[in-house]
Amino acid sequence: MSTPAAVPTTDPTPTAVRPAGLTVDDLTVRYGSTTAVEHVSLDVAPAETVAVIGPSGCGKSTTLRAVAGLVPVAEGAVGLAGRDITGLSPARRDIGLVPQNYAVFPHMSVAANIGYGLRARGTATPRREERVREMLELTHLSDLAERRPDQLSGGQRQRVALARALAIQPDALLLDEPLAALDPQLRGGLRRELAAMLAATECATLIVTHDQREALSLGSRIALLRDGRLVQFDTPQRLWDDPVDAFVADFLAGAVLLDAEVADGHAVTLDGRWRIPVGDLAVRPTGHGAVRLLLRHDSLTVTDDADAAALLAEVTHSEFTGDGVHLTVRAGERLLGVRVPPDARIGRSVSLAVAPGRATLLSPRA
Amino acid sequence: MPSRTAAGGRAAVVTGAGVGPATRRGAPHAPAWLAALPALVVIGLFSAYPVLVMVANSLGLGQPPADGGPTLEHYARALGSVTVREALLNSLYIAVGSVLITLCVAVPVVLRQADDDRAGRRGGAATDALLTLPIALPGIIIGFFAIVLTGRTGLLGLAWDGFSGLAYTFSGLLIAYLYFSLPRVLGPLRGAAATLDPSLTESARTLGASRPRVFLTVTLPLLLPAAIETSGTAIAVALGGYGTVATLSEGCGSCRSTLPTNSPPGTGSPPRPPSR
Repeated sequence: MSTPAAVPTTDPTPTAVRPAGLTVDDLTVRYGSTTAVEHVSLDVAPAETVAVIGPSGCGKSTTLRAVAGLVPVAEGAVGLAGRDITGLSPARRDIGLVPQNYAVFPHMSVAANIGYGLRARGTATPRREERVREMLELTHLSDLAERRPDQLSGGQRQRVALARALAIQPDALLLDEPLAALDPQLRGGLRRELAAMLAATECATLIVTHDQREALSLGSRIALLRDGRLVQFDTPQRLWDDPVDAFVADFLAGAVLLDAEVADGHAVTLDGRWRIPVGDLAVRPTGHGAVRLLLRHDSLTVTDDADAAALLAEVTHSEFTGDGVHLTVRAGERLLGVRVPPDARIGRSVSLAVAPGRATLLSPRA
Repeated sequence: MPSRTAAGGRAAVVTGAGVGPATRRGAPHAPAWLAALPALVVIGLFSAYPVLVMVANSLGLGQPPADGGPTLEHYARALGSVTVREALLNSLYIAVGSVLITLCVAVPVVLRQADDDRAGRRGGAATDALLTLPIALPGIIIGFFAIVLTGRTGLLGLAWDGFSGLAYTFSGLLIAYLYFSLPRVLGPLRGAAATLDPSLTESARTLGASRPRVFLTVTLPLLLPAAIETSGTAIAVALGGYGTVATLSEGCGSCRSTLPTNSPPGTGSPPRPPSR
């Protein structure tokens, strides 16, 4: 999973062994006076898929465009397969790009779209035709080779764009919001299909998305960006289990992360208003310093006995979710989520307790 | 609600054309051609009908007009005439030539403007106004400008002798018509350029195509339908443009004539403008 941090920059024979995939080193991009991306460092190993995720305006698309060479880099460097490509024209980077709207050339057939890059590179006709045929097969488009893009569905167009990008055998593949333009009902199936096709490629793949599920399922590592800065870059499991801060916990897992202290067998949180026996909590080590309490939507239950381990909270919102009711409750300054059965009778204020073993205490020492 | 007001608007148009009130009520799905009917009536009345009558008369069908013409013989004589043929060819050369040159000038401008618009740079209001200004100017004024610049004692002639008298030559006319056609091509072409998706050219670039290649294989083919449509209109307008060529042809007796200036007096040609 991890890649060597040092990239050999003076390799005169790039065709021989290409040690590293894609590296983004201390990247800063500015649009006029605004800084869109600030000191972001990433690396993607060959055949690995890294998902870049964050709320809109966090700089994830700008990062991708900087890697593709479509926006100028203010500071930092982009390396690919051992070459420094920071200042290289997009045409010479050997990067396959699948834009958000797929940008399939509307005046060319599917096959001509896929062959466009090979034609531009002057690949000999027999080799080009063979490669186009391979790509058509990989993306299950062989029957549609002579179709025009306006006769294709969104999912088919996505596959054309993917095949077109892969046809040039790029060192890196960039996908900008690959599923955002598709119907929500189709996304699940197409996500699995996309994952299968990406697994068949050898190139370093960078996926930009705002969708947590996409990031968690497609990325072997996830880079989370906020306000142009990298917040956390780790495997999906680690991001899920040990978020660096409350923003990561909320954005990726919809979870709440509370600062806590451990005092005589109790976890104390919310400024001492809530004392939970440590025995009720799952305790896990954290790599991020302080003791914190991680609450997911299934971590809390509504309880009748208002003992010391219970937290009194005020219900601010309730939402029917089919298999239950999701309550948003306020405890002091914090908003928490609780799931209750659909037939539960809920007043305006509730006592909350942790479901034994469902809430996690992240402790640096444990 | 919007659909209802739209239907009402259509009914009003239909009634206005005198089709009758029957379509107004109880016909929520009036056939689409009803909406086109008023326009079709006008076009039929003013172009199809007179042409049909003229063709019929020329072929000796129907009632001949009082003066006995025009007949096939008249047409043959007109087309056989060297001056008419020359004027026709000159008109075509100048109209087509100037519009082709205009396209070459206009395409980079509209692509640049589309880029600027997308990037949110709107510094070009003055440029826009300047570029579209000639559309408001009558051809005579444009001819006059050409004379002021490149006439025998023109301003540019002071700088270089080659410019003096250029206004009365074929190239001079071409340049004057370039100025005449530019706003007529720029406007519509700009709309087409704005709809070009920049991610198409970006994708083509990342696939390894050079800028010229992207222009030739992606930008140009996508812009072509709009360019053809626009230049068709511009050529038609330039062909009929009378003022410029009339003004410039006043400058010399041996000047090339084009169709609008070749119309003999008394056939409905507009009065000649006063010479300078």
